[in-house]
Amino acid sequence: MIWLAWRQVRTQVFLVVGVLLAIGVVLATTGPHLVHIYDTVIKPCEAKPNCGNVGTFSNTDRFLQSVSLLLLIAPALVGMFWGAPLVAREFENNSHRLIWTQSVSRMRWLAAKLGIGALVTVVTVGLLSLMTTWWFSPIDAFSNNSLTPSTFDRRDVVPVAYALFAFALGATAGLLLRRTLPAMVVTLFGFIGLRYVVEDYLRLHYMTPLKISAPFNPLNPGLTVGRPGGLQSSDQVVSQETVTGTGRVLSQNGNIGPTSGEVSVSNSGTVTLRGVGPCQGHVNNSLKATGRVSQSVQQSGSGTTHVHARSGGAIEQLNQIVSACSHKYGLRDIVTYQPLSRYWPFQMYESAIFIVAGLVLAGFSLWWLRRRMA
Amino acid sequence: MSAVLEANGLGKRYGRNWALSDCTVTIPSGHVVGLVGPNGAGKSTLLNLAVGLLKPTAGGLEVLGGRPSDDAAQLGRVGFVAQDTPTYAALSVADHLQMGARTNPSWDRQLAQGRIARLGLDPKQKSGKLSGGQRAQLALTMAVAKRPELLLLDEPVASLDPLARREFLQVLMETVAEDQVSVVLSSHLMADLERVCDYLVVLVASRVQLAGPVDDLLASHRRLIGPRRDPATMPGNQIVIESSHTDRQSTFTVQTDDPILDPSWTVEEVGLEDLVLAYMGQASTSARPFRPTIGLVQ
Repeated sequence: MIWLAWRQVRTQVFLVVGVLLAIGVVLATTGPHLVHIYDTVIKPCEAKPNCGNVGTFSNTDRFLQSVSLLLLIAPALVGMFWGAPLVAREFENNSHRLIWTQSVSRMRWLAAKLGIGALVTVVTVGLLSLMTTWWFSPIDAFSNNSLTPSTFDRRDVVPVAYALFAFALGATAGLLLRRTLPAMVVTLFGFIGLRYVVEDYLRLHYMTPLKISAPFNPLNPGLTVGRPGGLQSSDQVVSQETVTGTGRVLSQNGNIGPTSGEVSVSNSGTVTLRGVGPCQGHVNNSLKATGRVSQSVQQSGSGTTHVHARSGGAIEQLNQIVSACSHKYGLRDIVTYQPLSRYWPFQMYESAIFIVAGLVLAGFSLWWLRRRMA
Repeated sequence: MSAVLEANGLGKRYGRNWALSDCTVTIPSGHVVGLVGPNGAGKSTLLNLAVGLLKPTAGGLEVLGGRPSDDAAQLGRVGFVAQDTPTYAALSVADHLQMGARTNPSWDRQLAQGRIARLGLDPKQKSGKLSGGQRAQLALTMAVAKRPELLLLDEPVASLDPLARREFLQVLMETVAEDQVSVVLSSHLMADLERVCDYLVVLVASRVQLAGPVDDLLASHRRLIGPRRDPATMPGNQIVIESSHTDRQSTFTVQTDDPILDPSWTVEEVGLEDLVLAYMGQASTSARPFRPTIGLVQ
C-alpha cells in the first residue's frame, strides 16, 4: 500500500525537490553576501555605542520579500495541491472503486496515503525552512525581531507544522466534499482561519507575559525601548497601559502626555489631566499670552522636540507641572511582553497546536472512512 | 447449491431517493449470472453494495456467506470491475500489476502477466493512453488475478465498441472456463449477455422481475398467437406477461410450466431478449409490479 501511495506522488515530489534545489542554489549564492555585510558593516558598528541606524539590507529588499513570502505560502500550497486532491482526485476519477476493492482495508489505504504525504511534507517544507532560516540568519541577528509575526512564522519549525496541518485539512476536505476544487478552497480558508486565530489570539499567551511598570513620565510616555529598565527591541509587547494610583486604567497605549492632547490648559493657565483631575501650579501667563503653549498642546503626535524648539521654557514648565501632577495621582505605566528568550518554547507550542490539529483531522478522516462511508 | 449473493429486503437511499429498495434476490453459485435492467433500476447499486463500496440503508445482504465490508479477507474473495473500468491514468500497465500484487495476498503474478502478454498490452504503456477496450481488459485482469471466488462486473462493456465487446466477453468466458469462478455481470442490454449467461436476473425499479436459469426461463415461457381473446379468460396456470391485440388476433407471452393444450393457439418459443423486454415492459406499465414465483433454486 505504501508502494502505491509513494508511486502516486513520486513525480510531483521529484518536481518539487528540483524546484527546492534551484531555490537552494540561489540562496546559497546570495547568502554569503548577506553574512559578509553583517560581519563587515553591522557587527563592528553595533560593538560601538551610538551606532545609530546603519541602514538595512535594503538593496536586497525585493528579493528578501520574495524569499520570505515563499515560506508564508508554502504550507497553503501543500494543503491545496497535495492535501485536497489526495482523496478527492480518487473520487473524481472513480479510481477509489478500483483500489477499495483490492484486498486492503480503506483505513490502511488512507493511513498509507496520509503517512507518505506527511513524510513528503516534512522533508520538502523542512528543507525550505532550513534554507531560508539559514539565509535570513544575518538579517534576523540584525533586526532582532524573531518574535514578530512575519518573522516568527517563517522560520525554523512552525512552517513544517503549518504544512502538516494544511495537508491534513486538505485531505479531510477532499474526503468529505469528494471534489478537488471545493476542497482546495476550504483548505485555503480553513488554513488562513486557524493561522489568524493562533497568531492574533493565542500566540502571545503561550506563557504568562512578563510585566514591568514604572511611574508615568510625561516626557517619555510608556516604558520605551532603550530606556534603562525599559523594553528591549526584541521584546514582543502584549499590552501597555497607564493606570492611576487607584488602579483605574487611563489608556491602553500609553499616550498620555503633554503632546497627546490629554492635557488641557485653561485661559487662566491652570493645567488639568483629562480624566484624572486638576494639577497644582499654572503656566506662566506671559508665555501663554504668546499662544505658544496652547499651540504646543494641540500639536498632538508631532513630537516633543518640535514643540520644545518652538516654545522654549513654556513646554518645560508644562512638563514639570504634569510630572508633579502624575506623581500626585500615582500614575504608572504597565507593560506586559514576551521576551525573545521564549522564542524556542513558542516555536514548540505553536508547532504542537498545528500538529495536534492535523492529527485530529487525520484521525477523523480515518474514522469517517470506516464508519460513515460504506 | 449455495448462494454467492443473497439479498433480503435490501435498500439503499441517497438523501430522499431510494436507488434500491426492498430488493430480495438469491444468486446461486457456479453460474454466469446476467443482471439485466433498464438504466436506473439499481443494478450498479446492488453490485456496489455486494462488494462493500456502499453500505445498505435497509435490509440484509450476504456475499459468499459473509457480510460485504471493508475487510481485507472478504475483499480478497470478490473481484470487482467497476463501471467504466476505472484505472490510474498516470500509472503504467506494469504499475497496475505491481499494485495488484502488493494489495492482494492471493495475487497470481503468472496469470496476470500471461494475460497481459496474450492481450498484447505493452506493460510500459500508461493506462491513460490505453483504448477503452484495453483498459477494460486491464481492469478485468486486475479482478481475475486476485483469484476471487466471485467476480462482479458492473456494465463492463457499456462503453466499448462492438468488436471490443466481443473480445472482452470472450476473454471473460475463457476465465470462467479455466477458474470455475462465479460471475455476476450487469448490463442494460440483453444482447450483451445473451451469449455468456446461463442465469438471468431481471431488475426493474429495484424489484426483481424475473430470476432463474436461462434454460428454465426459456422452457417455461411461450408466445401464443390465436384469435382475439381477453387475457382475463386465460387458464390459471398460464400467467400472461405481455399481450398485444389486433382486430382479430391476440398475441400473448405467457409463463407456464405445463404444456399448452388449446389447439387454437399457435405456440412459439420466446427468445431471451424478447422475454426480458416483455418483463421490463410489464413492470413499466403496471402500477404494482407483478412478481412471478419462479423456482429460483433447483
